[in-house]
Amino acid sequence: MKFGWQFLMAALLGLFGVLDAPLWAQDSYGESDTAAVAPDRSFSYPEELVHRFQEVPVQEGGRIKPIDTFAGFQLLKFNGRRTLTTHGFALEERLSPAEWLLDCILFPEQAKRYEVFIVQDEAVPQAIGLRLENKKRRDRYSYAELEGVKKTLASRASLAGQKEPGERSRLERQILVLWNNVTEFEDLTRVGAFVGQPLPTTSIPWISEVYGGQDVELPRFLANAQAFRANMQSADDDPQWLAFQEAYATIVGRHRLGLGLFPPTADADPKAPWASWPEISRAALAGEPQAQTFLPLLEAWGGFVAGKTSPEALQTGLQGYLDMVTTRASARGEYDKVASEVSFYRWDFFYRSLYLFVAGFLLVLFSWLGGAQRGQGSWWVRGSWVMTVGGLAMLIAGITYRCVLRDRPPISTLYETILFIAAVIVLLALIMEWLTRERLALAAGSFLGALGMFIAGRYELREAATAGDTMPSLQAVLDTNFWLATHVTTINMGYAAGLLAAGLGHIWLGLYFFQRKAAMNSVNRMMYGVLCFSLLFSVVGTILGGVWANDSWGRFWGWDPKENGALLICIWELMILHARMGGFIRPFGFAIMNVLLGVVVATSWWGVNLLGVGLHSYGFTEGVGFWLMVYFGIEFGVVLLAWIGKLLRGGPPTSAQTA
Amino acid sequence: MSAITNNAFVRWLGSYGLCVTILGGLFLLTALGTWAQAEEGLYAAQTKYFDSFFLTEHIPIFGKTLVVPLPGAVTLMALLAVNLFVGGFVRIRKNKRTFGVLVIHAGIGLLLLAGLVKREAANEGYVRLYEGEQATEYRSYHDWEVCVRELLPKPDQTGLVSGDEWFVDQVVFLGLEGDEVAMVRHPELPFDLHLRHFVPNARVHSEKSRDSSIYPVVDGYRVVPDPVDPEAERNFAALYAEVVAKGAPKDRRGRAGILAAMERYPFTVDQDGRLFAIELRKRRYSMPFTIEQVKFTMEEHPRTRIPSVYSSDILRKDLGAEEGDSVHISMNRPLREDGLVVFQSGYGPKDAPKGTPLFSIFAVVRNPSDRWPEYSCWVIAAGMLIAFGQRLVGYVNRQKRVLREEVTE
Repeated sequence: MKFGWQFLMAALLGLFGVLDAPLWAQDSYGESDTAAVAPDRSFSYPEELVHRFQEVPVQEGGRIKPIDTFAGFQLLKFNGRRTLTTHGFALEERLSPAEWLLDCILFPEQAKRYEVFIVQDEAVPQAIGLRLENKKRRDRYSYAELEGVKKTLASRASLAGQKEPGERSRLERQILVLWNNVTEFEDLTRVGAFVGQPLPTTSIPWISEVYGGQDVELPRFLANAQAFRANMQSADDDPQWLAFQEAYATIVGRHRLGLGLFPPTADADPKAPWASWPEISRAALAGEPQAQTFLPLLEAWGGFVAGKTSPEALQTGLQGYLDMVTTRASARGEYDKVASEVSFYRWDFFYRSLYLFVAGFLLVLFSWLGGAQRGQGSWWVRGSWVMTVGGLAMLIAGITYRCVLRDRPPISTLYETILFIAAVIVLLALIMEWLTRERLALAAGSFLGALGMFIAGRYELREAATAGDTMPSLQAVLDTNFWLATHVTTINMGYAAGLLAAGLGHIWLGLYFFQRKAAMNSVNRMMYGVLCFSLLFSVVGTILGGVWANDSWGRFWGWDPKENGALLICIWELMILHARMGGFIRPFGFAIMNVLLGVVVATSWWGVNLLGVGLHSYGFTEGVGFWLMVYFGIEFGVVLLAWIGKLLRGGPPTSAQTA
Repeated sequence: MSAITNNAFVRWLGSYGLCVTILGGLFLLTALGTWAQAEEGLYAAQTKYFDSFFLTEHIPIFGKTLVVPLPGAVTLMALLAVNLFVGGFVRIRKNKRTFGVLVIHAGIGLLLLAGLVKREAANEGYVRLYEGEQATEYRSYHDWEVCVRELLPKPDQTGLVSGDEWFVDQVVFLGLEGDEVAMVRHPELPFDLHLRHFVPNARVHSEKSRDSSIYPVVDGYRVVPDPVDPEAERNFAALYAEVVAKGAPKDRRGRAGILAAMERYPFTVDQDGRLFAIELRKRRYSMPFTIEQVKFTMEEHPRTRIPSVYSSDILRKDLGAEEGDSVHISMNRPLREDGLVVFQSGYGPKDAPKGTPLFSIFAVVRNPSDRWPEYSCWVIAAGMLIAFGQRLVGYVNRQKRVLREEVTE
């Protein structure tokens, strides 16, 4: 009985028909592929191989990036760290993201036994019925450990997924995160899954005829897809045919798009997306002619995966694939920044600047402890200068590198605001230190720089979990380098100066506690200068934002939360300056109001994003509320303590004393 | 300084104390209004806090509610303008040192003026067009109107066409409570229109429906109120109308109907041989030209659902003209013409599968002070650079002197 090819397509594509169903409603990919016991890796990856693999380009999250970036964020998301230490294997190693991903692709059975999924709370394993000895309250689990409770995890995640994000409990959020990580991990283990798994093309005579009486792997199967379709003659009730379909489904997978590894040809539509092998498979079976253009790449990728028996074979396979893919990507103009991005992450600019700022702060701190011989001009202070300037140089280099990679001004995401603000704070502090030479601004700058870099590191982790990248594709409204370079940069300079003024406010209060009157005067003047700087940039930045909004949304001012946040800073700073000019506040009140300025800036920077309303939806944030409250609590505590201190001391120094 | 400017009251009007108090009030109001937006919705909170003269804040304390009256942003900004004028222009010492401050104050004054002009003279709305469609008017996001339209037979008697239109602005019926009636009379209309029971968000149900309400039944139907949605655009209002013939005795009831924003067909009345359609709808504004949607383009970042570009190619035509000029409108690149600004603000339907025809949403704004904030920005920036620059130069020179003296010692 001969059927039309549409019938076969319906049958085969029906395997993908569950695409729209919720992920948790499905089982994993065919279970049979996990049943076979595959040998563990018996060699360490040669450095050269890892370096070459890092430069494999992929299209993910709307952009072309090195596979190393992808692997880094996946590992960060699952593991909370960019490295993974393996225990209980013949080779105990500290794996880099690229090495870990190589294992996921080449040795999935081994990768499944890595304790890679961080679980923040023991309530999660308890909720899904997982009881394991020797696990801490916060610990890491392997896929193999979770596999037994996957169905429970899926059903709990399904229930959590049906709730609005704001209504989910902490446990439900964690269950959802774990489930998403598990399913994404499964995808990774399938990036090379078609290799070494021939389709049973000899089981049915008419298929066997098409493939010359051999069981063939996917690339060859797809290469003859046209003949396969033309000869189709099986019925839905034929057990052999059903078995063939099942074998196909097992290999290709049921519901995921896969990783966009394969670029179209240079003569294809310049905006055509890269393809994953399940997509190529689907397109080839649907008779789409361009699908055939991907098959050489698919075959080369298969050759690389098949070389997992030895480092040499892997190296040869990878080189073959890389030659092909880079030629094609370069011809499309889509490979020029891949190697640079690998270098960017190798340089690790921001962690290095963190260490340098910490060293700079410690050195200036020691300079105070040591008395006059460690004072201005000593090696301690010079060392602090060198470290802080070095940290700043590293930070600016990193920011500049990102600008080049993205073809964007310094700030287009919340993560980048942290980097930029930290850089401006340190720069301003160093300028003030240059003018005053009292080590106070140096201490403030190095401390705030280190704090900024620490927060950037923590936020990067959050970005990994939500966006999977710190260089995400931008919303259409943000696709304007002019406004990103003017409004966004300006307003963040205002934020930076406001936070520095707040930092100086703390220093003034500290000096007040120790009654260092000369230094108090100096810091008072610094606060004033930085506050004026902040006001200039906050006001201009806020109005420029209005002008941008006028061009984008048709109104200059809409009392939107993000706009109001910026306005709050301007109003607070105007209040401080006018209260100071009117004599309503003395240096003590001035310092207190500057400390509270930090709260106002933090509210505008992060707080209003938590509201989740308004037109600035691209800047909404979740999960920072707790730390914001902690910061507010600390600042209000500082203010309270300062007032108590002032009352105990019997009032602040008079202006005559401080003048 | 003249006696007037030295008067105690005038001094108070221009004082730092009043300035700080107003700024404090604005700070508080902005914070409260911002937080309220998450609970009450953007439009409701913005109207309450930022487009009002006064408001009351309800604060729960120990199980009771404390009602605190507060000045609205309009009042505070009016006061700020007075304070700025008196303190920042009239009473301020005018010399080289204060020149920058004067420039800053001038910029802030211009900004406040731009806000006032926008509040009093601007309007805004939207146009939604599929490819091939055109529009000569735009609809308000929030404001309602009752439109009375005369229906005339087509010349070939095959149907009806719209004739003259008369409008009733929402200020007439928005605040109607209980049995209050708004009577609308127009010399060209052969009837008076009695409006009552405005419900901001409602559905019309059969009287046999299980959903009941306090509102009267008309022709077997009644209005059933829904909770007011915080997002004002999502509300569908309803209103009762009664058409009473001109000169009819006071006790004589006219023909009653329900005007519901969701209704597909208007309430029609035949009066003195003339046919009229009456409907409640979002307020519409005429444009001095026609826009025709030629092509809408929406692109997504590859392998994501994040839009990277959406833009429209339109034809801008003079009213009644067949031909027009091609204009490309995209995010951040609006069309500015004849006092109107047309923006690419969105598209729909939301989450449409690939291949579905999409419509383009244009925001349309008429604002005489459209560019003033931009000018004020440059003025303020210049003023701050002068004022703070002077202080910075002074500070740097003083510090240099201090450091030199330290080295000498």
